[in-house]
Amino acid sequence: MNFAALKTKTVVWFAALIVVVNGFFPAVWILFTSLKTENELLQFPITYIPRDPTLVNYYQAFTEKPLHLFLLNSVIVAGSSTIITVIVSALAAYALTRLRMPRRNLLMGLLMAVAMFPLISLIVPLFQVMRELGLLNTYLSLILPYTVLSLPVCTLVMASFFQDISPDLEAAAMVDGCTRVQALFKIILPLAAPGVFTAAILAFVNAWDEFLLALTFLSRESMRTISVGITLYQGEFAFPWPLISAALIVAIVPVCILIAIFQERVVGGLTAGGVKG
Amino acid sequence: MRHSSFVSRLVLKMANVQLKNVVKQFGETKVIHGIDLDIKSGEFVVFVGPSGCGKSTLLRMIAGLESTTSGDIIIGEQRVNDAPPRSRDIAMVFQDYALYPHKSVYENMAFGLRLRKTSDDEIKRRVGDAAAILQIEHLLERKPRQLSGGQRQRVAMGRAIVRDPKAFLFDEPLSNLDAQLRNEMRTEIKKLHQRLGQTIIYVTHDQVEAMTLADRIAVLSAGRVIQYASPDEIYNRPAAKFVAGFTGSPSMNFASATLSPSGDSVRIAGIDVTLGHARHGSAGKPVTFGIRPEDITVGGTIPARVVVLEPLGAETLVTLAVGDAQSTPVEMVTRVSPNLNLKPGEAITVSMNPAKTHLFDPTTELALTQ
Repeated sequence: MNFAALKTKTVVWFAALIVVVNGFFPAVWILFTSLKTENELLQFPITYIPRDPTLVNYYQAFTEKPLHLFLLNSVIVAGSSTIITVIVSALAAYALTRLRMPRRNLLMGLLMAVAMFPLISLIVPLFQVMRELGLLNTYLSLILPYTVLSLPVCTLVMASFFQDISPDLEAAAMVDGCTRVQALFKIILPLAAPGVFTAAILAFVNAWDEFLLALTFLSRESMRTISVGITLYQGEFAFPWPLISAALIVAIVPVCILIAIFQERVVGGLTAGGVKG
Repeated sequence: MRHSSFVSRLVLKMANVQLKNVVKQFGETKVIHGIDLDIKSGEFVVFVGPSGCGKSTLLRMIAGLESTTSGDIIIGEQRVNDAPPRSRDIAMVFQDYALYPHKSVYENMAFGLRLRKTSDDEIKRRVGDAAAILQIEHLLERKPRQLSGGQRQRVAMGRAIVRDPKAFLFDEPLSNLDAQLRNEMRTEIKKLHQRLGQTIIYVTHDQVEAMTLADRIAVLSAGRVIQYASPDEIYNRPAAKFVAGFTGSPSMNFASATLSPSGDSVRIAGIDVTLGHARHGSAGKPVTFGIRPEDITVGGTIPARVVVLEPLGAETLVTLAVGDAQSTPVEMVTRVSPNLNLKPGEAITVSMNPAKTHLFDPTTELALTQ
């Protein structure tokens, strides 16, 4: 290996290290904090690795507040909005990439514009709509806006994957006996699996992490999602860091598991060999 | 035995295909200008023409993958204009194979049957039969990416024949294969048609494929059928200069000429060439003269000079400058035996077979027969 190549490799590794440390350090720090007692946390000099690791914070996180309910609410809201988002954005992306459509670029531009709306500007009108519809304190009050907010990005992600799939494949499927929608779901979506999973992960994480709408639309404690539920652990004068950290880890784990499961599917290459390449 | 039962089942379903004044428009642009064609049951018809002539669009309209702006498409006895592709009971082989990459060869072939709720036993039998005909039995468990180009093309054909459709549509199926494989597959397709006897509509831009495969050829140009006839008629009695120039390799020689007052000979570059029959209707008028390379033979009364020799092994293509010394000569290509031993620059004489001469109107480019 010559010097230039070595230098490039070093720079790349260094850049990668910065990204990884930046991403993982807070999560690892929270994990360690969740395993410490309150006393150990307040000690000086600070201990980085927990001296006497304990799971008591996890136990307390579930007993002091209905963390399991917060989790369940989040799973229902994020899961439902993800499923709806994937189905609707698949149909939208298919239409955008395959149908002869006047002003396709304008539509794409509008989609991008919708994705850029700051959430805070939507809160008041959305709140009024939800109140009028009697949806406050129901899952739908979050599922619907989360779906709409994730749709533009998910549609664009899927459209970029659909574009790489030969239109002859769905033509073949339609000649074989599929309707257009069957061709989409039986042939195109399995081939665009990396795009579908990428979109699904984006939609799920968006919904899982969202705080502002969840805080505004669901005021009943039993309906709180995890992102809002975690804030309920802090008292007026107390800030139980180890407890909050334990709840945070519980909130992070499902997303990590989801990404770990689907990571392989996100890696492309499935479409190889179908058409002349 | 296994094949013969399969074949007998297939023969029952074949159908004729009729196009009546079929038009296709994309916005303001008309790409198919009122095409009429009658494809008989069991016939092998080839749509041939240069890129952009509308042949693939026409095929996709028959398949139902493109809508028909006006006119009628009839498959069997049924007008199918508004029927989706799945209801037309046709099968199609695509240029890029269009095999489902995530399915095995077996599942690719079984897909259409599964959608039609065919029983597993029947699917197994039909896929097995088709695989045997196409000699791809050993590939059934593989994925398309594990196959060569020729194997993929066989699978694509297998997917079509298991369905037992009313008609097969082929959209330039060989254009992605290398020359040798293309020749092999061409023979395979011809054998398949001879064995199955089904209605086939085949699109190609390759006139050799058209000539070798077709019962009848539809030559298309700019969205119109210029001639629809047997390969023999297309080659020997082209209806227009475009058809004459499109078929044959090398293509027909053309030269501007003037028809004699009696209409039985033309004057080209200062020499008179006798015609097979007189064209009194255009006597004395300028015409476009045409003759195929093989209809010019060395030896005769027409003066020519050898310009270029292109030896092909079995024959040699010779570009000649034909004409007398006082006129600007016209370049024409002929085929000669490699034993003739001609030299570039050599002055020779040639003759042109009067029965094989063609005349075209210089304005309409249509053949002059009267």
